[in-house]
Amino acid sequence: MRGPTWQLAGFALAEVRLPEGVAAGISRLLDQAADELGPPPVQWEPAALDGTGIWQRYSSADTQAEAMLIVSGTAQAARALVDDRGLVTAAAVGVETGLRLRAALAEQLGREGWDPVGVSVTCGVALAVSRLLEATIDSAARALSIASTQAAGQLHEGGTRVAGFQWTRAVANGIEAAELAFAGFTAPVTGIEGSRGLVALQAPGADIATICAGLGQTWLLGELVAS
Amino acid sequence: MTAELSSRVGKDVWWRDFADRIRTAFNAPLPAPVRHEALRSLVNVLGVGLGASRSEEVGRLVRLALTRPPGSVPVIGRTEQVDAYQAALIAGFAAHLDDFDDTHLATVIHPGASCLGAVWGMAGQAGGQDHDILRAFAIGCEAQLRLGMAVTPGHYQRGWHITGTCGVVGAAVTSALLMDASVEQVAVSIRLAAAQTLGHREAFGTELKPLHAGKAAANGLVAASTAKRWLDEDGGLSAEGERSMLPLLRTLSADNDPDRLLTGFGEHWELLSNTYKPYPCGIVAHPGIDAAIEASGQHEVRPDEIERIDYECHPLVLDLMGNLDPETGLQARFSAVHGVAVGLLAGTAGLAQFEDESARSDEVRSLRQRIVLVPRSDLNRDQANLRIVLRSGREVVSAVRAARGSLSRPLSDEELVAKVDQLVAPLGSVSGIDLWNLVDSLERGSRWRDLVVSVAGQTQGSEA
Repeated sequence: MRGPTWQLAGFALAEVRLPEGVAAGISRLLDQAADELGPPPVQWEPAALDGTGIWQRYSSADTQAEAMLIVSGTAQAARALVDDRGLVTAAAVGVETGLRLRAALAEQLGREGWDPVGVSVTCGVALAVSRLLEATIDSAARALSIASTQAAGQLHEGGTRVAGFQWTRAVANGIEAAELAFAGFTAPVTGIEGSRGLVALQAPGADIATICAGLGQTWLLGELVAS
Repeated sequence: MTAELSSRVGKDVWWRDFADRIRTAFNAPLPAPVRHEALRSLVNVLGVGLGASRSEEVGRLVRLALTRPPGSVPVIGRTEQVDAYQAALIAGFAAHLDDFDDTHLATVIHPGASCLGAVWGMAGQAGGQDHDILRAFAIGCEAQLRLGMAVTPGHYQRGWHITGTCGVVGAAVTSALLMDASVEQVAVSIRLAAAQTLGHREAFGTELKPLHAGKAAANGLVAASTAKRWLDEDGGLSAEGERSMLPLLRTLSADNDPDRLLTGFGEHWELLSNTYKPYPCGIVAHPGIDAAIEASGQHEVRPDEIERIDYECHPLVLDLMGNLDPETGLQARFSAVHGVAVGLLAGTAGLAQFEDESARSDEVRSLRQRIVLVPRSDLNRDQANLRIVLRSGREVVSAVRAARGSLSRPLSDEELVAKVDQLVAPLGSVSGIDLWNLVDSLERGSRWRDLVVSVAGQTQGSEA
């Protein structure tokens, strides 16, 4: 059986039926992200999102900030690379990916000194943008591996201006990872679970099986977007 | 360095202390041996990057970069122009693509690629910092090697690709120094670089490995540019007061040694221990290749006569180079048995022997299958023995006590220039000695832009 990298990629590209209220909740998040981070730029620019103030309002423990960054990155990519069709669903699978990685890994990531937002956002955006690009599963899995190898961010920077910087860089890196993979860039398809991958190096001891438990059937983002 | 800063060494490590050492080193001329090694390092990695600049993999990155808003920095070895971020990314990627660059053996860092990327992105723009390039490159390499030493051996052993994780700091330092950054700007630059550290060894054997070097270069450049913007706008992070680097070191390795970051910085140089690869593959396979080439030349071993080869090597060879049946050239760079097979068959191990065609050759594959890796903990990383058992019952033994290109048997300047000469020959516009002379005279008025233009001159309209 394929590991979480491939399973998450498959989930991100599959036909999904969003739970009731999720689409509206994602739309609200998109509006909120535009208010707080600024509208997505018309033309691609690395790190174009404004992270100047977000660190003052949110902490690394805040899933709201994480979700907002992912939907904002998805919107940025949609505008620069394709169009807004499918934006809400793409953003939803990106947020769900981020929340699942956070739920499974946050404790261990924190123990190792890594900021969970950096991991969730880079990976979530990579899969959301892969969906926008209508990538293959192989491409999306490579995108996730390209994202996860650079899923950084220092937890000790929480509450500093550097936190905002590393969060917006995570958005840019996630978009770039999806584009690289879509362009045919080679990468492993085991970036999350590999013996020298994300979990082994940054969240040792985490239960990998929980990342994809109930994937596509139960949605972690329901509670978030309803709040 | 101030007395106040000096007194804190050994108690904690502060971003500003590290930056102070870096800036102080930059203020003085490089000691002659360090300057010479910096020259060798930059010429070597430049040649490797230029050699890969027309590859399909670099072409793919260039096509993607051209979908971005236009820039004015020529792509390494090509005529297309992109922005500084993309130029740095592509140059760093190209410099590490063939695994032919350099290695600091104690840390296993390839320091040149990310710092070359930073130089290419920064100095490829119009500007007058050419006379600082060699020093900025040297000190960027030194900074990442010091960080690497502080987290060695645990960091790499655990599975991190240290060329990416530490390279981003080196690239930030090189970029910042090329902006003539203050101590404060250097401090913020390295802190922002550390927030973007990257590189899992899961990526080995794919294009993601050299991307680590490319992204390290580009992220370092972003860090330095952002630090400058913050300082110009509102004083950067000065309101926070001083902060410790120890949390960063702990994320990189639990058994870190912060003293190795600062002690003797500017006096003892890790860059002097940089080595240059004679073969385009993982360095721990090099002694085996030496032994194979020697056996091929001296013992007249015919491949079809070989029944079995016992390849005695350092245990790390199995860990890093244990791919027994590579299917692509990139995978072959992580296959010690492939290196020995081509060394025996071709009597050499250049780029051609690590192409896809070679990896898939029936003859090479057949010989690889007859090679048995035998780990021996009493062998050093630069040693290997080949015991070649022939069908006739005769045995040939080829033993290498110090691999070519290692610290105890380094490439001479002439060998290094010859290596670069071969790499840049396809460009048709420069030679190895041209590059050496140009880099050697940057402090005396030669222009980096001339180099950039001259190596792009023959690629008009090229499309990899």
